[in-house]
Amino acid sequence: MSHMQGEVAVVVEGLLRLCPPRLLGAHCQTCDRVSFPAAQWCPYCRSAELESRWLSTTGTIFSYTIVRIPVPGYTGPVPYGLGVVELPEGICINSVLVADPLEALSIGAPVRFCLLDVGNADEPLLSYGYKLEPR
Amino acid sequence: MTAVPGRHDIVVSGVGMHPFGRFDGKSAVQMGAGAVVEALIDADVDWDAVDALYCGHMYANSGAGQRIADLLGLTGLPVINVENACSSGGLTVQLARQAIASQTHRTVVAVGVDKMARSVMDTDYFATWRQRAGHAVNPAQFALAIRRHMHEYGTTEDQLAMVVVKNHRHSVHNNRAMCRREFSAEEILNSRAVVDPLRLLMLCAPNEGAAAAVLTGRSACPGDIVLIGQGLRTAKRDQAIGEHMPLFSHIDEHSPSVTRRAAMEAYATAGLGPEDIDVVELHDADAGTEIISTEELGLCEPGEGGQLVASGATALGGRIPVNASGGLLSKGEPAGASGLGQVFEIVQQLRGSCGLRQVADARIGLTHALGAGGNCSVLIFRRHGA
Repeated sequence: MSHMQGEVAVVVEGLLRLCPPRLLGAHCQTCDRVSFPAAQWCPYCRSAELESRWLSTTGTIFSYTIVRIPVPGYTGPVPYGLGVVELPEGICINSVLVADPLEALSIGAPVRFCLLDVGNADEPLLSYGYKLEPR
Repeated sequence: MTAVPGRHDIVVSGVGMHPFGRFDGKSAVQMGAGAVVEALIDADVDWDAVDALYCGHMYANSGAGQRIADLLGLTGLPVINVENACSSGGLTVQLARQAIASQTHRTVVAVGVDKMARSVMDTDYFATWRQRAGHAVNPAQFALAIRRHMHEYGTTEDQLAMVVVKNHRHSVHNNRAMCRREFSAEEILNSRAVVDPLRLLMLCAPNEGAAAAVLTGRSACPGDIVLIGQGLRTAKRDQAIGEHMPLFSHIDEHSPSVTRRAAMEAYATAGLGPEDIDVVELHDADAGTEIISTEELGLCEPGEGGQLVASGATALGGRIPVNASGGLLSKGEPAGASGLGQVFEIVQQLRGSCGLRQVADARIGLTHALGAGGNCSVLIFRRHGA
């Protein structure tokens, strides 16, 4: 069930811009709130007056974990970082977290948006993540 | 029997429980029927006198409740199957109460069943792309919640282990629990890391089992166990972490969590507060959730859940014993049955029939079940005349 974006399979259509890499959210013209991913209605006020909004590429870690088990439906490398990133827009989003080593992840640490291959050697699959910024 | 005019107490007249564990060759429906029969005998109610059957489950496929009725006798009664993930069982009791309070029915059987695959729950709650992206990790939301709690309040891994030590110590006296032996803190802290900071022995195991309750609308007699308070809520978009597993949210630190809101509603309907509760069965899907839930249920101040378990207050003999049954950490969790398993324990505790795991002088008890989608059910029971 991959969606092709150019020649690359991505996890879902309408989520990512590749160049430069950005995550696509929505800005509600009625209540002024930002949501993610872009949906047909604003999840706060149900207005259909939504405008596309490329989300900030920087944020901070609100919480994190290191997943060390196989996960249903996921074929990427294990272990991997997973967490919640707080963006300057005032929203938190779920994301894979990238760090080397993974134990360097910490709450409050700055992260930067990145594209990520969550597939395997036979079948690359483009998704997104936030990568720990060097201190 | 159909509805009788006049206002009634909601009496839990009987409970039954098929042990939680692994039972090869036995279906969820068979276990459910066994739990219902035990509850009917306990209540001294004939199956023909049951006005409705509500069956909570997550993985038992279509018509599980009807298949239970098929085993017990097709009396033509209304059957409703209820799915609210891990709080399905709690919800059946809430619905039974509503039916009795509205005088739609007088006697309702609430049953919860499940027979779950081993390992991490494969949940279709997540969109396919989130599964592929690696977001669909059932225990991760627990890890994110307790990691944040450790950051804000200094809660420690040792305190997480204390929760597990305590619940397993309780389970030794519960012959319906899957795992009935003590574990040392060292053993727990050395078990395999799964989703940091949670280790294998800090997570409950999905398994199999069933539990049931007979609820009857009538004037309570001394010694009857009466449902006196209930709260049912779902999460809002203002918490970044929790059982609702939001893809995105904003953060409002002043907004109460779903457990806090369900608990406030339950305390308000019961006309009492957390200081009145004698015994608690809460949703210890993992050690972190127990620490956070003790705070959210008002058993201690925010941030003090780690110290609460370390103080011994939540152990048998302590100020407010939590999960005297051994909790889900010891019993395991058949998702549809776990909420009713809690009701089974609290009813036995309030009757004073728990033997070596009895909480002394337990008069008022509380159950707390959490499920995917951030849904929370809190129930409060009292021994009438106590």
